[in-house]
Amino acid sequence: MMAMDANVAVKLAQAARAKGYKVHMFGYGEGVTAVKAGQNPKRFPNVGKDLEQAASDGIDQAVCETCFAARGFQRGEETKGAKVGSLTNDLFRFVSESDRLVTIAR
Amino acid sequence: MANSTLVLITKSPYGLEDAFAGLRLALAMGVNGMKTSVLMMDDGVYNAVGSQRSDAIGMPSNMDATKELYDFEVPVYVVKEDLAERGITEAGLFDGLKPVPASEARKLLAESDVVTTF
Repeated sequence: MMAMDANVAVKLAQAARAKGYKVHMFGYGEGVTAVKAGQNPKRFPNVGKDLEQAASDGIDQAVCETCFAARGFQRGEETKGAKVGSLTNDLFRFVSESDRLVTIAR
Repeated sequence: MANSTLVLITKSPYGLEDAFAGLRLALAMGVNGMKTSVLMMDDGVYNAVGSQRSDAIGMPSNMDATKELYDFEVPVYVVKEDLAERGITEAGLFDGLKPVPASEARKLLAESDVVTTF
């Protein structure tokens, strides 16, 4: 079964956004698979679609390019609104601009 | 807006990419002038072992990635109790690390504006 961590992260991010918070999301390691376009999980929530909705709701998203490439994904295969970026630029900026930080991992 | 960050390393090196990613983030923070500290705890203390040889498996070295932080005055703490639980002596650590008791680790966690967990 797919890990549902990313689904939880999106729901949490959307809840915070709905309360008026500015929200950033960053994925690294296996987390980058959440932004792979064209997911078709059939019986489970489609986290790729949920992330696209979150992006259109104003939630900034980036993933680690090194992790993305390591899994055979090419730039351009990411979901709409997600940026294939880096820990050193994007996550650094997200952390610097944040008052609170939540890590969802196992 | 965060003025200080604690990067918490909780995973062992090489089998997982988490620790290396955390160390690279800490480097980015240090390079950009953010007040940054690293705390190795739980299985993260395995990153502190001085006899690690990443070349044996062709992986980038977490020891080298840690030592790069010293140039940017990013202190790297290791929880003593977690070392002891795993049978790792302080003499077995590589240089430059700062072993601290868990009580001190709690203070570091409380003092940092944000904590990023890897």
